[in-house]
Amino acid sequence: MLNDNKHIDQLFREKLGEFEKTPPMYLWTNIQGKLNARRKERRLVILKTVSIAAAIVLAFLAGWKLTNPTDKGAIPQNSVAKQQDTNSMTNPSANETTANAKVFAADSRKDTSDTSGLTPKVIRTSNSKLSSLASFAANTSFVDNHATVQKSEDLVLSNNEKELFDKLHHNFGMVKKLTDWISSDKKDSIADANQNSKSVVIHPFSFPATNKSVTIAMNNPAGSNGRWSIKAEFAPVFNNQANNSGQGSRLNYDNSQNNKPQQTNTENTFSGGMIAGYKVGKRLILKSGFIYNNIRQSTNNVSFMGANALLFNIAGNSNIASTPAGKVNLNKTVNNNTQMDVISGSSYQLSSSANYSSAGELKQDIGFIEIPVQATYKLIDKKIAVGLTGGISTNILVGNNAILSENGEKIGTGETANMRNIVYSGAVGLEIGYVITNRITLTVEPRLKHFINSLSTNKSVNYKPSQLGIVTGLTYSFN
Amino acid sequence: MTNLEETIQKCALGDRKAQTILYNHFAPKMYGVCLRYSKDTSEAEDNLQDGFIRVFTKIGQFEFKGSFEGWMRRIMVNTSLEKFRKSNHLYPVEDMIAFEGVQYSEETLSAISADDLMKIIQQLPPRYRMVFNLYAIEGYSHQEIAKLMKITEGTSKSNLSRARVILQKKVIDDFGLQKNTVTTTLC
Repeated sequence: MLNDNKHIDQLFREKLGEFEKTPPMYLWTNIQGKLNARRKERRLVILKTVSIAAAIVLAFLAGWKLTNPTDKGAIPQNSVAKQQDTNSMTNPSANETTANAKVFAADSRKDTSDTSGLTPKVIRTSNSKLSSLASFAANTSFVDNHATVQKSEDLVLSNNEKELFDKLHHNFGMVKKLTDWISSDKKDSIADANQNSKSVVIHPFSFPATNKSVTIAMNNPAGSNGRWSIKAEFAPVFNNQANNSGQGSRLNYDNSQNNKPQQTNTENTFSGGMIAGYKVGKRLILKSGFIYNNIRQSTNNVSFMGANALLFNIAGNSNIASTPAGKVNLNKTVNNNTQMDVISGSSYQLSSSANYSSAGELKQDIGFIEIPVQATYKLIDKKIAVGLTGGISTNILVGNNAILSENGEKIGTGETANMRNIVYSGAVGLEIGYVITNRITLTVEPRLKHFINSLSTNKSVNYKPSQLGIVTGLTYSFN
Repeated sequence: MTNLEETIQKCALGDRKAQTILYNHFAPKMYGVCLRYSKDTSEAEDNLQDGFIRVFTKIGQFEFKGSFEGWMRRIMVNTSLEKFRKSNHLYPVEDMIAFEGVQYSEETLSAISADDLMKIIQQLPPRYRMVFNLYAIEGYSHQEIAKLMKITEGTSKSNLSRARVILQKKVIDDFGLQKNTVTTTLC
């Protein structure tokens, strides 16, 4: 007889607690079929994500290249026509014009970003680059275009541009490998079928006993998301005025004649990129990826110092402006006489080494590819999730342009001097997410970013701007 | 143990041979779990299938801190509970009848097979079956069950009592056992 306390619970526990029964054979076939289907689906998602990432990178790179003010094709052609007309009508001395043209031609050989950029051949080259880039991006058959691009007669690529195409070609090569991988899935399935037809040898295990004391509520693997996630993000960025404790330049401004002091204001920009996340704990996520980001500022009534080459037809490129981000070296513009005409409203001194002011507006654009390493701690992990994000980033300088314009017309291009190629920054953000489905989350995150070291290598320039971005993101979690 | 760890790691990498080995070893035990939480073999097979797909897709998250079999079992139980929640069963249940404790002889116990008891437990109304399994066999507290099933602790206790009553009655009816009055009750 059993003791009196033995009751129905024990009866069922003893008989059914360790109950085993071999399931039907077809069940494993079904499971394998579903696992294969999931693998294919997952690979497709990865392929789509990589494709989207590649498209975004292409868009950024293409946009960057096409909007680069130092690009030879950036100054509109009608500007040349206008300037040429002005030249023939207003220039009283034909000989001087010829002499100017000679000096101009000599300069153009020295500086590729000079006025020679407006020759028809180079404009055609620029168009060719654009069309090649577009066709390259549109080509989804992964045929090796690399050789074609390099062999194109009209396409004259600089070393940097060749590197760019090399990188793009490499990326598409990776996508091709990924496609091959997916297509190989069918072969795997056939191999599996063959494998399944053979008997499977089961190795003996020293399996542990069932741990009944562990609670389900504590760890619910069936309900939780996967560890990997990918996020596409986009943000309007508000740049603050950098607190430049240095002087930026040793130039002395001389704006006394027009009584308009030079003034620098920051402009709002946009950033965007892809971030991969890896869940290391229940609430902690580590993230990294790449974000394109830029800093833009404009300076009104900009002053110059130099050989007055901007105004007069004197060889040399020593026009220098001073801004909080450092000195800006400006190249000579298209036509010297036109420049005089354009800046005729400005007051200036005629000494070749004097400072002089203009009514021009100088816009500086400094672009970075940011590679962040971030950690997000989820304060609330529900339908509406809240997370605190912090991290540091490596910012790689990818764009450095300056455009001088007056009354909306571009009259000079150049770049900010002494920009550091790699800058570090820190960022904190409060991420508010709305879980749309198990896999997709929409997030909004105010993110404050501050550059840790000065953007300039010039020790007298301490340019460490801060940025506030309202980051909107779409996160896809892999299960 | 090393073999198991290696197999789990290979499964995490998607190794199909390792998956087959793991399935063949654990499937009978997990099928037993699923049968207890299901109304019939068809439902149990569905749960086992879904459970193993979850095991293989989430096996990379297993941190080798506890029993792997326990981890797998929890996945099977959770899969069964989710299926139950989705189907939102509203079964009429029998009124609780007054009963007193029952004791069984050794002969009686040996006469009742596990298969017979499985049939009885599968005939329970779904919610009673869930609560009884979780409490009496898995060893969860009413607090844990309430959290898992999104019910109150009182409901969990009530469901357990009713499940016990029904099971008692079935065992007595099916096996023609004599009911003996004892001092303790089953509640």
